Amino acid sequence: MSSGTAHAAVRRPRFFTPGSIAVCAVAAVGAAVTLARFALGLGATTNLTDANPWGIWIAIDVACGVALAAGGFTTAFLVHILHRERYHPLLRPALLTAMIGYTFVAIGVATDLGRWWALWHVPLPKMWQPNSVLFEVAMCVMCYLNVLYIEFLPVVCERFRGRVRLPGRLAALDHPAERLLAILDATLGRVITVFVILGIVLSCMHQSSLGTLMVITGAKLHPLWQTPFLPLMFLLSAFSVGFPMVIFESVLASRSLRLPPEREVLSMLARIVPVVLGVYLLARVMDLLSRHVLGLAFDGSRHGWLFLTEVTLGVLAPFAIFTNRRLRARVGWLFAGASMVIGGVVLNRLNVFLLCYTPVHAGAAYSPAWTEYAVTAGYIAIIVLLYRFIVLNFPVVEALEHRSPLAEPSAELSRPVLKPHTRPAASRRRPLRPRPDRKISHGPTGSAP
Amino acid sequence: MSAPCASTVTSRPSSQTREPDRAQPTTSRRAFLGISVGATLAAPALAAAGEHASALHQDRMGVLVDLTECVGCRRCEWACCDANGLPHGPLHEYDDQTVFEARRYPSPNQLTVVNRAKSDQTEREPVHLKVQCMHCDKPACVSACLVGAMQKDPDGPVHYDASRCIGCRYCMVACPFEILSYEYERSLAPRVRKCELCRDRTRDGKLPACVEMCPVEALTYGRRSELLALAHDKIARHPDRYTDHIYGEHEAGGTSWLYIAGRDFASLGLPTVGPKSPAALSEAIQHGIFRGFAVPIVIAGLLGAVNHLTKEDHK
Amino acid sequence: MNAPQALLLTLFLALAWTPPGERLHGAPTQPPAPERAPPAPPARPAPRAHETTPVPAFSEPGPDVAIIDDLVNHYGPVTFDHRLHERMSEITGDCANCHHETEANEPITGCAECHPRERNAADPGVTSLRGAIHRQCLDCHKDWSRANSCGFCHEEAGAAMHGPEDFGEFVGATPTHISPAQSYTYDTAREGLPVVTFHHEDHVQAFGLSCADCHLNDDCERCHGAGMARQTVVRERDCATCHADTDCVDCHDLTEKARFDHAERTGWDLGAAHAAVSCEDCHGPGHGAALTVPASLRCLACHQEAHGVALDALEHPVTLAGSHAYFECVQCHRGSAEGPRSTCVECHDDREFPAWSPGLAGW
Repeated sequence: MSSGTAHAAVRRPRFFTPGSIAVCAVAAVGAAVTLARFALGLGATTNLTDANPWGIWIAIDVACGVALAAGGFTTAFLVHILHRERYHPLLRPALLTAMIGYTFVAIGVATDLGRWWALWHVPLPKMWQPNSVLFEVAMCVMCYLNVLYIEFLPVVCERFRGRVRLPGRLAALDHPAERLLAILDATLGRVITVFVILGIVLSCMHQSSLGTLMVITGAKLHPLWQTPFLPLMFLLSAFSVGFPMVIFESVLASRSLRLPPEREVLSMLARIVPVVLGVYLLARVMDLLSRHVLGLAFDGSRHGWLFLTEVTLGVLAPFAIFTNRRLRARVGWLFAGASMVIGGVVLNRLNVFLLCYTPVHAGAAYSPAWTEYAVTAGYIAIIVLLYRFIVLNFPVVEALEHRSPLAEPSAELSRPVLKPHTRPAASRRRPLRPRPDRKISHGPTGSAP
Repeated sequence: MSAPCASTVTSRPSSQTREPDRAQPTTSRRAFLGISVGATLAAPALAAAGEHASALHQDRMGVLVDLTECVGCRRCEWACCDANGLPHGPLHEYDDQTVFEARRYPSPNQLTVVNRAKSDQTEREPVHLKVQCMHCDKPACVSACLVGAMQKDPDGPVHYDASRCIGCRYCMVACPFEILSYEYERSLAPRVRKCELCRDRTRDGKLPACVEMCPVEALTYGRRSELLALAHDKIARHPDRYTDHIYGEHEAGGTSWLYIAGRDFASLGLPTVGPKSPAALSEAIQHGIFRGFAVPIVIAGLLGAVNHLTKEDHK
Repeated sequence: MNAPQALLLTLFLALAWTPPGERLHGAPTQPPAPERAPPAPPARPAPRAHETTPVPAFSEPGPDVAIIDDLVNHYGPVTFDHRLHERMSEITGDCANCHHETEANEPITGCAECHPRERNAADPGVTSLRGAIHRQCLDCHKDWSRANSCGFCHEEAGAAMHGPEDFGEFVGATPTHISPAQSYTYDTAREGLPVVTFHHEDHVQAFGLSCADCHLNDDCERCHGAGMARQTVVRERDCATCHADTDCVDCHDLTEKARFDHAERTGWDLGAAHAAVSCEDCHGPGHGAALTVPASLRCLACHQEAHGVALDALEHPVTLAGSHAYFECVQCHRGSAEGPRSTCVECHDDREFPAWSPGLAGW
């Protein structure tokens, strides 16, 4: 990496900055309101009604959360299945995003569940109800969450191998722990592809089923969105938002961590986006035409405008940006394009789950309570903080690993466990592009002795 | 597949269901077997295999509501609260007509409510409309519930089992009549609340509480087939009195509660619902994609193959 | 305590001694019901008032009062004033209004003869006795008073009996389910001109009458609390209230008289627009006087002043210049506002029309 030496002397960023402290405040408020929700119940903390039983916790935390975590499986597909090693630097950040994202999808669901303490009913075979689309979604998300944790394990192994220093008497366990890590690392290295495949299959299943979820609402969902092909639309839009999410998050992370953006890799990644976007748009338009409802988009109604916004800003505009070679080469435009795709998919999920879902009985319209916003914002803040913490303490962002951890004050609170690497950091460097003469290994095998 | 409940048989909507696919999902890739999540992954396939044809009883029961008879006395509301142990005042409090000023919906403390439809010019008197769970033959809520907390009894009632419920409220989203209500105000163990067609009373040979109470017998409890015949007969005999439409005969795939009235149901505030159960399409899609678990296995196989082939390229 | 209350109380006390099962028709004045085979259960719903065919009233004497108390659970018994309803039924569908299974000149069929005490699960189409009685009562009562409160008929435990004064809300109310005939024809036995035609609907509409305006001493009175005596409208007196100065032949005739026709009687066809105008708007308040149109209420009363716009600017196509300004409207608008108008040549036969049009220069 060209900038590696230039930044070598720069200290690793601290966890706490004015920005992250502000995010911490949002997270704290969110956490407090979450506690209130569990103590006082949904009635006290949400504006949910019998006509609108699902609010922003489902629409944003769950529906958008699942979609935006699509970067994990799409990047895994690119790197692990297609062996496009040049994208390797993006893999672990994407995986991390997906892992934290799905963790908070689960937490978001639990927050919204009236009887959250009964969540363990879902995997119980005697409770299975296979006709339920939600059953399929829940099972897949649960499995996928575990798969994500397993896929992330190599990072944990890498972080701790050779550096297990348990405090006090527990020090006796240092050796067994090291052994365990070694075994885990070696095993995972052999079977990781299986989990990657499992993860992709599970993702495809529940990303699409998330769309099927709303098919049962029938006429309650506006015809511009209600279609038997809703699962396909959800799957394609999840595909389309995967890489933009990686771009978005990579640009943001490198700015926040004061790293140079991975311009070249992102630019290459961006080439793929319009292909997926094009397929998505085509499917969308064909569906609308076949159902003779495309005209509704132009009837001047609120729904029509939402649809046009979603398609124009979320699909057409980024399509134009990402197909333009010159724009694609600029980080600013990459970021803008990626943000648009993300905005489009978020708007799509909001439209389907909230904005264009019209209850049968016209009562008072649902507008979220401030507490609902607080929880959602809090969860997003915690996701950001967790991401920052893990990136700063685990070998996730390669560029960051090139900096000498020794340059940091050892007393820094955010990295109490970080110890000097036993091996030179350079030995774990990965090439940006695959070298034709070398079989590229990935993940744990890279650090296997 | 495991029997969900000892006392009731879970019925599966039948129109879109296919012959039971008894073939076990053969299997998954060798690698899956050792992994516990692999087993859970196979769950939908196993479960789908257990799907069986409709268990609806031919003689299932229902209630016919003759809206031309209803006088809006709200005694059914009282009887419902009384039978379900819900808080309620003395009978005479239900003489209060001012409640008709605002449209009401069932709530956790009132599983049925009577509304007064704005009378149109051609009518002699206003029309009153009692609403409660329609007890669909192919209930969307039953199809939606992921833990089987909603179940359709073969003899009619759609039953909610709080001990299974996790509180996701997907049933409420799915219900085409939007009739379910939720105990949002309960913090720890909120329940979905709905009419249960007095399944405990009818088991004992009693009438549903509202039916028993109705002074003008606007409500008739009986076999759904007979009620339909009766309704058709009434409409044929008094074409001037009834519109030729039995609400619930076909709505949402048919419901246990049936309505006849002197004017069209949309103007009375009943939602216009198509003749297919909303669950039919979503289940068809769901089972179509996951039938025999073929699609996911094929995808997994393809991914494995691509992985292998591209790996070769790099050698 | 007034007379009706005393009578009711007496009846109630008498009934209190009869066993419950017999009470529905157990009034003391009723002879024992003749034994008869129960008719086939009616598969059809009970018809409503406007669907019934009248059964001649009093084909057998009915009870005065019935205490309905053997079906009660949530409420106390009902005191049903059978005689009151019997008499009211004369102006509607007679006995068949309620006794819908009774054929003409047949003995009256009681409710319990067809409607079983318990609902028959095997035949959901048959209404139980309780449902049938409630339907019969409420079908009219919800129309009349929009009242569906149970306490209207039922007594609370230990409460006083209903007296006629409890029915005050009916006073002056127009029973909406009663559909009197458009016209009635009477044979008065008057020599020479026996037939009197009474156009009931026209009187109600034209003079805005309510039932009690004429039927002051009719059956309604009984419910409304003024007296017990049953009297119908006394034609000689009640008609004469308005028709004191009317010539005999205006009402009496050899045959049925046609309805009042404004065009025929006055030569002025009201047409569609003026038919909607009330009589008083043109003829002034009160009736019975010479029916002329006072100057203050003629055409311009509405067509100029009411609109606040000059008539010619508003709609009159012809400028009424010169001497024309003094014309009465009806001088040109003859027979009807919508009918034929006088044309210029009727007076000005020396001018060609339309070359010479009113209002043009040179006229």
